[in-house]
Amino acid sequence: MITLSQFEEMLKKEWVSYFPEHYQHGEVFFHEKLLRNGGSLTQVSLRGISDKAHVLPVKPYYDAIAQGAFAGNILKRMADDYQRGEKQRAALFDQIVAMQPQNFENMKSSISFVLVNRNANNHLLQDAVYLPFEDLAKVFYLQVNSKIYAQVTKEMCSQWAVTAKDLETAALEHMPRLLPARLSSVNAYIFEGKVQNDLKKTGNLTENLYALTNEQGALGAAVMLYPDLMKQIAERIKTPFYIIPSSVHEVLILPKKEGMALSEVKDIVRTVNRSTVEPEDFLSDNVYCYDAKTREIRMMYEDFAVEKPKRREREYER
Amino acid sequence: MNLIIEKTVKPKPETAEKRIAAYDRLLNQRENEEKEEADYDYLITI
Repeated sequence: MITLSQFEEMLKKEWVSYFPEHYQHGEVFFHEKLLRNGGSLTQVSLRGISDKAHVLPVKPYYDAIAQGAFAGNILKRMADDYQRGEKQRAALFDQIVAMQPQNFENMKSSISFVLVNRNANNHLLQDAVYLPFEDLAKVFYLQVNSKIYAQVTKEMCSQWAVTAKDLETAALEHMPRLLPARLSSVNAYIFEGKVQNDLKKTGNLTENLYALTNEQGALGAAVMLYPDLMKQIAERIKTPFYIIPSSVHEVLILPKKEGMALSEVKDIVRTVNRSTVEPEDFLSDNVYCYDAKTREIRMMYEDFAVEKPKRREREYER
Repeated sequence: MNLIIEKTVKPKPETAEKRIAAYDRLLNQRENEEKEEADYDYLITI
């Protein structure tokens, strides 16, 4: 059986011959796509045919050969998939070109960010445009539509003559509309199968646990930084609450109960991160809170202060 | 300007449910342990 590197060598030498005539001067090239939290994915494409190249992941096709498929058939399938992808994406490419991405003013309303763990993503952050936030990083993207995005690169920023801070300002202004927030009680979400949005309702939030994400449920932990969202939640919960970084996709809101300690909550976060969270979805082992005075979210080093009895009550006790 | 366009891979709902259910279970477990401890203290007091 051939190895993965032998298959890549085969792609370099033979893949073009499975394409129609006008692809024959194309050059096969490999691109290493960096994944969250340390992973990577090898992709392959053709250079020199068009300025809008389609890319295919190599591994699934290699796996088919490893399971006994004939290599020639797989190279042909890859060539077909590539051309089909090119056709399907043609309209999207045209849409992006029409947006004139060279001009920041045109793209401003499409800027978004996702939250990732900073230490676990050193490799990814090298080429990314990001701002640190506690132990996390806000990584900026262009949200073409709810399903398509492109990472903002340093090259793009220098062409636009903007800083990461400018991107943050644009993102915070437009993200709540692009990717609306959704707050759901865990009981309704998990056990009753209803995806409700408590942000669209009024009244106190009295459940034990809430999931906060965006309406797609994808890369939604960033929602916690939407302007005034935590203020609104705090006003409706009426007690201090922990913000648990469940994954890059959502955070959990846990109202503090008597007897509950930060150290216990942190233990639970570590346990779930090790036992249940997929490596690519990991966000943090820390716990955060919303400070109503400063209106900021911060990482918790100490638990909420226990409220001391008021002076008059203490005097009465004596 | 080079743009690398990616498709948002929508996470499988069951992975989110698994994570959230794990939190719910561990938090309930912690609360129940606390209740049991409280009951135990109460019995000793009697």
